[in-house]
Amino acid sequence: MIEFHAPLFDGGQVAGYIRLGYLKPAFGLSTSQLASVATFALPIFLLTSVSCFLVRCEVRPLHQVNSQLGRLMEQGGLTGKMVLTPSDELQDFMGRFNRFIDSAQQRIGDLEADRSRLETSSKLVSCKRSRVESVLQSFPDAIGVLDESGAVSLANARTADVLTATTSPPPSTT
Amino acid sequence: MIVASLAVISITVLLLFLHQQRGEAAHMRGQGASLVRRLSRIPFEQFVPGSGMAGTLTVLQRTRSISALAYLAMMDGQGRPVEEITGAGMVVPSAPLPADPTTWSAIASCCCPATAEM
Repeated sequence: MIEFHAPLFDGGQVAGYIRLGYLKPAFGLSTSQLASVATFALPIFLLTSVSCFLVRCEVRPLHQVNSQLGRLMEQGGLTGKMVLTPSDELQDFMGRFNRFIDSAQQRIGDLEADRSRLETSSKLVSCKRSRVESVLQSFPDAIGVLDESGAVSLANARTADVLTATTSPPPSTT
Repeated sequence: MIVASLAVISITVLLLFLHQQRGEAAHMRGQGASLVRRLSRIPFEQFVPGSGMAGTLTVLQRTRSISALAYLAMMDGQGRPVEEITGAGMVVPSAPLPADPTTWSAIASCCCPATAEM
C-alpha cells in the first residue's frame, strides 16, 4: 500500500492532515485484460503455426531427396536419377544435380575405359619383351646391350658363359 | 515450434504485465501526490460535513474517479479521525502526524497491507 499525506491549515495553523492510501497495482491477469491478451496472443500463435506449416512444406522435398540419395547409395553408387514432382520449387536444383551426376558417371566411364586400354597395352608390351628376351637367351652367341652410360642393361646366358670362360684360370696340363 | 511460440507469448505477456504494473504505479504516485497537494489547499472546515451536507471526502468517493483507492481520511491535530472513507475490507492504519514540518507535505510512504486490510 502507498500512502500520501499532507497537512490541513485553518487560519494559518495546522488543524489536521489528510491521508490518502492506494493499493499497489497487482501483477497478473485480470478478467478485463483477458480479451486484450487473447487478441494479442492469437495472431502470434496463428503466425507461428502457419510459419511451421510453410517451413515443413519447403523442407519436405529435401527429405524426399535425402531418402532417394540413401536408396541410390544402397544400390551401389551413381546409377539412376532422383525424381521430384514438377510442382516442387526444387525441380531446377534437382535437374542440375542430375546433370552433375550424369557428367560424373560419364567421367567415371571414360576413366574405366582408359584403365582397360592401359592394362591391355601393358600386357602387350610385357609379351613383346618376354619374346625378345627368349630370342636373346636362345641365341648361340653372347649378346650384351649397353645403355648410354656404358652399363650393361641386357645380356643373354651365353654372355655369362663367355665371361666366366675368360676370367677363369686355364685348366692345368700335366 | 508450438512450444517456442507459447514461450514467446508467455514472455511477451509477462513483459507487458511488468510494463503495465510500472505504468500504473507511476500514475498512482502522480495522482496521489497531486490530489493530496490540492486537498491540502482546501480550508479545514470545508472537510467537516455539516448537517444535511456531504463532506468533500464523500463527494470524492461518490465520483469514483480514483481507482485503486484504499482509504482517504482526514485527521485532526491530535491524530483523531474526523472523516474517512475506505474501500471494501480496508481500515485506515493509525499514524501520528509527522513532527517535522518538512515531512508534512505530500510524502509517499508504504504501509504493510496486513495492518490495513481486515
